Amino acid sequence: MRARWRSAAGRIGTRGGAGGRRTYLVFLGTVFSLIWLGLAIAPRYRGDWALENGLTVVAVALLAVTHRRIPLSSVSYTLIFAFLTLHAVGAHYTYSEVPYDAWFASLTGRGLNDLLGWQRNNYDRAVHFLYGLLLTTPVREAFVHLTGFRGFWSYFLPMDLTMSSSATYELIEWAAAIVFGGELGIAYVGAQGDPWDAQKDMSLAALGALLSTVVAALHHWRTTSRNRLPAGGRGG
Amino acid sequence: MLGGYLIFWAALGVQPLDSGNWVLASILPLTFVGVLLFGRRALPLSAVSYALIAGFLALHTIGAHYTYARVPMGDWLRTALGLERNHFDRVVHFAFGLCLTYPLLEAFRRLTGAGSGFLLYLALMTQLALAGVWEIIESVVAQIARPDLGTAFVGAQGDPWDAQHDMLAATIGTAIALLVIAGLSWRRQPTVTPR
Repeated sequence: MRARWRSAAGRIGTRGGAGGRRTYLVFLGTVFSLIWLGLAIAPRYRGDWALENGLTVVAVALLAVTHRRIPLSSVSYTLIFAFLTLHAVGAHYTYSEVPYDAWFASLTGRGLNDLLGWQRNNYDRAVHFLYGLLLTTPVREAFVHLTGFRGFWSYFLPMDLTMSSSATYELIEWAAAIVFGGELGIAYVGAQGDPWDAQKDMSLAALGALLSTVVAALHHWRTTSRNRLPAGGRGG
Repeated sequence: MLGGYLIFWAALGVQPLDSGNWVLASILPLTFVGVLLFGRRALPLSAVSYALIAGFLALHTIGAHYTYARVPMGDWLRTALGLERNHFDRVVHFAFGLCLTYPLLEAFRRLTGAGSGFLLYLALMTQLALAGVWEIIESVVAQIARPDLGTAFVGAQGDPWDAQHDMLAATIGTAIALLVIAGLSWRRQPTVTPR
């Protein structure tokens, strides 16, 4: 998987052309490979680590296969990189045991859960939210590139995909829990006893996607209105 | 057809088993019917679509009348098949996928003018997203209305994977509908097969 990513990134690099973005892509790929390798060493729970990385393999393979037909912007690749890195951290520690609370306490002297009154490890919820927030932009770019839609549909399609894929993800988690059962199933679902786990996960992904979509729409609105009134100067 | 549905709805509105639940469950279909009425100029659908929508709403109305977990047909199914719970809600989730996919596809075709392969993708993704949104709405209403009841309020009947089962039922319904649609349009007109 890393080899595929590297070779894909390498091919872009050697192609030259508008070098900056490609060099940056190679840089991101290298950094991610290093982080990923570091986190592959002695994960807390190897079985869960392997299951979680199924997603990473699919994502990286998809990027490697599509990078030439659907080239994304540097911003998009950075967002994907950030998401996959956070996911690799979750896979290393097992989502429900990511020690963000201890890290926060060593920095500030007080646990984050204690500060916010949380009863459970909310790293998984944060990543569900960031799934919507970070990945809606690359998905939007890919859709615009593929379909040429502008306006409403270019905002609707990424939200649609984010929400349906997070519903599908809950189905996959459930299927994995049934198939593998026991401890591994529980670790992979990571509900930590919350009966509304699936609904909250999906809501947060939807909220992240909505925020990202609103920002994209506002950005688009500002750029177009500035273009329409070149002398008007909307400022900043 | 609209008159027929309203009469059916009103008849089942007489003495529902749990009137609070009935009111709650009737908000969405009435909104939906309202949208269809106002949208029929801008977005007219075919008679087949309206019939499918009416069929789905009729099932939902039956569920609202008896309070899903206590629909006689589901009780009968439970005894006949030896099931652990009343599965009428799952039947309606399945019907959501089966009945509403075609109207949705038709609406998307009119609105986007996209090719059929893309339309099939769009309908599938949207149905999945809507199934997820429905579970979210249910959970929000439950946590506001009766936090003490937990998942019992949404008719989970003790099923810890209720949301996943519901969404899977809707997905299977959608998949069957899309296969039928793709099959029919392929037979009728070989050029519109999904790419």
